[in-house]
Order: sequence, then C-alpha cells, then structure tokens
Amino acid sequence: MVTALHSIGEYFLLLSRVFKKPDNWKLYRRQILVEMTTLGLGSMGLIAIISFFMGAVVTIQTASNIDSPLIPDYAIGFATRQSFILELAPTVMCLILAGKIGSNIASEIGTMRITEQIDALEIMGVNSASYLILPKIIAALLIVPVIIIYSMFLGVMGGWFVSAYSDFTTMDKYLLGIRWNFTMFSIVYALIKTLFFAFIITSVPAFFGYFTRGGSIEIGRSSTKSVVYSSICILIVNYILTQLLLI
Amino acid sequence: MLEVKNISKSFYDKNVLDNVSAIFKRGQINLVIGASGSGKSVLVKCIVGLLEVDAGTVEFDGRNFTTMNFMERKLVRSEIGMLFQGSALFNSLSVEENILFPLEMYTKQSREEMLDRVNFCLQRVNLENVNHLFPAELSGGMQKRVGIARAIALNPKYLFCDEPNSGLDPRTGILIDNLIMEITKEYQMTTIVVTHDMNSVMETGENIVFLHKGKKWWEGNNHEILKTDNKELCDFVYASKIMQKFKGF
Repeated sequence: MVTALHSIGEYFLLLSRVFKKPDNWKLYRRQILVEMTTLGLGSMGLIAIISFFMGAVVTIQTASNIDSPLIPDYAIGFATRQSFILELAPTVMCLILAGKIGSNIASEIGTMRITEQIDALEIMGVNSASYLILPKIIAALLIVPVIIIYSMFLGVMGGWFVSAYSDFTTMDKYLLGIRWNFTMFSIVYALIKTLFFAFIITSVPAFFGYFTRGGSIEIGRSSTKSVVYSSICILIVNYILTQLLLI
Repeated sequence: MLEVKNISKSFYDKNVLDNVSAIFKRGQINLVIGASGSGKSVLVKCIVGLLEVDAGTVEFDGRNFTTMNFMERKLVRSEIGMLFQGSALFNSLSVEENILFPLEMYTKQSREEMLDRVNFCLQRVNLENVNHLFPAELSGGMQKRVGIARAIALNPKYLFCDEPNSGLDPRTGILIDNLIMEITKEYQMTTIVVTHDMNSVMETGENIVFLHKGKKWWEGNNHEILKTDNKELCDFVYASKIMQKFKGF
C-alpha cells in the first residue's frame, strides 16, 4: 500500500515536471510531429484490421442472436454502430494502443535511462521529463482521437461488408440501422473518453520508463508493468466517465 | 578551477563518499581513479548535480553549485560538457543532430552557423563524412569521439569524462586520451576524467585523486604515483603481474 502511494506520488511529481514551461518550443514542435507519426501512423494498420473485422463479427453475432420477430432487423446496424462508437472504438482500441504504444514508450524511455541518455539531457540543463514526455502526450492527445474516429468508421464498414456479402441482414436494413436515432453526443462522449485514455496511454508508460533502474531485464519489466497499469487505469477511468457522462 | 569541499554521499546506510575534498585546476587533466565501487562516478555525478550531496559544497570558479536553484544551475550547466561511459548519444538522432542538439537548445545562431560549428567539432575530433550516420552505425571509438564533439559544441569551461576509454582497444583508448588532453589545453578547460585505466593514468595524469572506500586516499601526478608507498594505491596500480614485474615485486 505504501509503495503504491509512493508510486502515485512520484507519478504526479513527474507530471509537475512534465508540464513546466518548455525551454525551446521549436524543438518541441518538431518532436510532437515526430511522435504523431510514430504513435499515430504506426498504429493505423493494426487499428484498421482490428476495427474492420471486429465490426464484421459484432454484426454477425448480433444478427445470429436476435431471433425475436419483435426486434426490427435494422437493430443489427444500430447495435453495431452503438457498440462501436460508445465502447469498442474508444475503450477497446485504446486498450490495444496501450499495449502497442505503451510498451514502445516505456522501453524507449527506459533504454534512454539505462544508457545515460537522460543524464546527458540533464547535464545539458534540459528538463528531460518535459522534453521526452510532453511531446508524446500532446501528440497522443492530437492523434488518438483521429485514430478512434477512423476505427469507428472502419468498424461500421466491417458491418456493412457483412450486410453486403452475406445473408445475415440486408444492406438497406443495415444502413437504416446505422442512421437510426443517431445523436452527435455519442461521438462527443467517445472523444471525451479518448482524450483521457490518450493521456493515460502516454503518461503511465512514460512514468515506468523514466524510473527504470538496472538493465535490459528491468526495461522488459517496465514495459510489461506499463501495459498492465495503463490498461487498469483505462478501465477504471472508463467506468467513472461513463457514470459521469451518461447520467 | 573547480573545488569540492568535504563532500559526503550515502545511499540508504551505505556511505559512498566520505568527506572528500579536492581542487581540480584549469587547463590540466584531473584524474579521479580508484577500484570499482570506490565512489569515482558518484563523485562526478555529485559535482555535476545528477546526484545531490548529503554534505559539503561544489564550487565552479567560486560559484557555490550546491546552493543554486534550478535556473542558476542551468546557467552553470551550459558551461559543462560531459562524455559518458557508453557515450550516451541519442539513438534516434544522427551524428549531426546529436551535436546540433545543444546548439539548437541554447544558441540563437542561424542554421548555417550551427552546421559550421558541427563540422568544426567533428573535424576537431578527427571525424569526417559521418554527419548523417546514426550512433548504431558507428564503432565504439567513433561514438566516443562524437560524444566529445557534442560535449565541446558549446565551448564548455568544464569537461567531465566518465571512463572515456572503457570498451576500447588500448590504441584507440590512448587516441581518445590524447584528444581529451589536446582539447583541454587548447580551450583551457577544467577537465575531470574518471578512469581505472593505468594507460590513461600514466599518459595524462597531471593531477590524480585516488579514491578508496569513498575517501580521498592519495593525491599527486603520474610521476609521483610510481614512487608512492601508499599500500592501497600500490595494490591498485600494481594489480597486474606485468606491473608488479615492472616495480620489481
């Protein structure tokens, strides 16, 4: 318990260093663009494959489990859209990103720590926490919502593919379903959650990477811990935000 | 000149540095030597502020570094260059970008002026046509030289080298030692080198501080070290059979 509290304290102290005024915005701007490419574009392919097939499977599962004549056929498209926009795209995709981006960040910063690159930054008088972590957080806050909207689109497209090329439902009914009773707030709600998750999947792994001590085994441990803890944080924050936003 | 006065540092209950005082003069190579675990690297990390001292003071030309705030330290750090044991080059940046980094961070020079400075520093450490290579594409000796080039990019007053020739063959190690020596004389820097390499000690040791169990055990130069009868220092210097033969043991 004491160790957990100590770690939480260290995490917030690190964040206070991260959000100090940067020394040179020009270098940070460049770094943000680099991080957006690494974190964002590098994840697009994986997210595309997962979203498309998950959308297709959700459609098939919904269609095969609805056998009541009281439920209209367009409910299949509606269920696919709602489950994707409200939960699968923001939460599940961010859990996947926590694995991909999180382990990447923890091992990158952890390696910099044990090879004294962070010490080299400190010797140069650079606020290493801010220089290494702030661009990642800003890049994630900018690019992860884009990835999630892209995931929503591809998930719904996966369902459309099923409706077009199988007998589970028809394309007309699917298209009617995905438009039925649509409210913009669903997207806003998903994007609010995404911003919180984007912060978690960069700051938590950065924390574990930054405080890595020892050698290559510890880098692996930091990487694993970062994925575990950021996933737990995402699930807890998801529960809290869902309670707050959908009251 | 750099002066440390009565520095102590401990980790939990282990005393790593115990009341160490020393003066490191400008324009000469100051060596900190000692066996592994004697506190050499901790001493240097305390001097540059990577570790906070428990007691004592560090003075850079009379400026008390230990009592400075972050901004004051930042000013002093812009006068410090450091070469790390593993070179600590930024893996994701090319050689040119590594040396550009401190210049972009601290100067308002034009891009052309900065590139001129990069090329000058690379030439100074006898490296050419490596600007666009990444650290992983360089040999250990070349990485050290790039590390030196980065360390001198801002024309530092103080140069710290943590085991500059570890992992290098003896010939390359001596080349690196000579390079550090030349640069120190040329720019009249206060240079502190942490080493346990006897080649370095004999080649460049103008002022040598020997640490043993966290205490300053002996101080002198490379001529005096051969004549000393300090037992612990003799055990360190004449550890190899060839050195014992040389001494006539």
